Amino acid sequence: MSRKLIFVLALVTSQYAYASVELSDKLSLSGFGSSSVTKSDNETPLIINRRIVDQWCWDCDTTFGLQLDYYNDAFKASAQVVKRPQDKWSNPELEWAYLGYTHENFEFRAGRLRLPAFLASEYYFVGHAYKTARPPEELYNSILGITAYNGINLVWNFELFDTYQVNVTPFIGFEDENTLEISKSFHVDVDVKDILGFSTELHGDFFKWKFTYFDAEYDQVFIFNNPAPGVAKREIDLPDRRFELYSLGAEYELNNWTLTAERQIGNVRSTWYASLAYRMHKFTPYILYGETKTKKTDVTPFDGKSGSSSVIGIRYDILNNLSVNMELQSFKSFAGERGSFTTTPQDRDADLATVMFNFVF
Amino acid sequence: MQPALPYPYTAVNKNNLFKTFSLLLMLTVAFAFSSITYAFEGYAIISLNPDFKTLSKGKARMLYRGKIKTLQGQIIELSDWPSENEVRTTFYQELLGKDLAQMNAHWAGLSFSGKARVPKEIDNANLESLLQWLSEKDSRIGYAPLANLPKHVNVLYVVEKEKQQ
Repeated sequence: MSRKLIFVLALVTSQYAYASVELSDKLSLSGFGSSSVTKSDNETPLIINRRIVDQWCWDCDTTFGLQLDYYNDAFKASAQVVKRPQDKWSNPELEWAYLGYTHENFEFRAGRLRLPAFLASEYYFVGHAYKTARPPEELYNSILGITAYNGINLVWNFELFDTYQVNVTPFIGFEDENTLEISKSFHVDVDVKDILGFSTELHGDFFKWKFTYFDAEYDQVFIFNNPAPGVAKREIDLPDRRFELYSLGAEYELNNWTLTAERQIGNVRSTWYASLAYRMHKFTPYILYGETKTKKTDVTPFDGKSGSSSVIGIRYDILNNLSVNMELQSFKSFAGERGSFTTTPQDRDADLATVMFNFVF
Repeated sequence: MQPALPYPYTAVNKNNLFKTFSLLLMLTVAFAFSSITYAFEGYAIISLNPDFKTLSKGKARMLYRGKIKTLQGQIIELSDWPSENEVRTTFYQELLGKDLAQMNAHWAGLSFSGKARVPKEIDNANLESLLQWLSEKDSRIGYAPLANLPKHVNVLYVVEKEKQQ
């Protein structure tokens, strides 16, 4: 790990501003990464795909991505490979790979694309791009950490009242398989059959709003590997399931203040968060509060508030392309539900301390 | 040996006078140079495409926030001055009230979501380098200090210093 850390430091100290590496006039390479040291005070792992427990963890948030872009007037090709927190370095994920064509105000894309569910979904792994150390857990993990789909989209950009910019993006997703490691002994296979939806954004000078709707049909398998000594592997098939999601988010930049709030309503759970950040020279202190409400389904009989968390932290821009977050997050789970834990915890509360470095180049 | 002069006069040695004058001259030149290079005298968002219309303040701000992709139906390309250059720092501060760290974070979000192309850093921190880059395509847009802009440049917006509160 130390060699990787040195590599990361070498990268960030060699560049003082975010500028992609221009391989040619049409081809550029850029990258991003995050590395943290973090510890909870609860033995039950926290946060899907990160699994933070009550021991100092140097590798729970480690992320590294490379993006290759090719521009040729109206044509664009782009690929992004990411070593996500849950991936091994030897097995990164192709987060997107698509071909795009722009004609006047329309852009058509086909390939593997990022799911535009929430405000920061499309740069979910780029820690340097948002204020907190991690995207608000309640919202961004409400779709089980699925961030991409195979399919097509059409982006229609237009101007409204000569003042605002609007884009409307209908999208269709096809067959895609995801495996989510909830715990060491519990995996969930999600076989997405199709996704149909659209997202729309309204941009003003100092604000943006985003609304997304999508409907996904999928098969789900719960896999229990060695649930107890002497107990064989068990699988529970849950075919022909449906996931529906509405989300609305807004971000305002008012002088040095940034206010962000998002609300997600789905047929499985509904979540929301609100945050406030204030820029003081290179420092940005922030607070955030989020909640999750689980809905009654054929899998879960519970209906009500299942989790919440509060964050207080500060971000410091060490260099223009290197930042560090120091934050404390207090989690609560309710009514025997797991909340933001990966399984139902013995102790329902947890405090999480994090120091995270983020960079881009 | 020169006779002593009554107060407040002091003897003036020609060599000392020359040195003093040279020093004053150098300081004056240095001050003048620094005022040309670093003082904020206004920046212009420019293109060599005469078809681009002038921008409102809101549109100019959205342009360099990466929120506008086309002008008059044409896909645009933006440029930046080299990193850490005073022109770049002051331009973003005056246009958007943001420092370069904030702009890096902002452009990271856009670029790594595939929503916008990061402005191209011009090779050298001078107007000639920018004009050369702009001249290669009609779709290109940049910014430069307002002073000494050639007449054939199409000024889309002038960034003027906000009055101090």
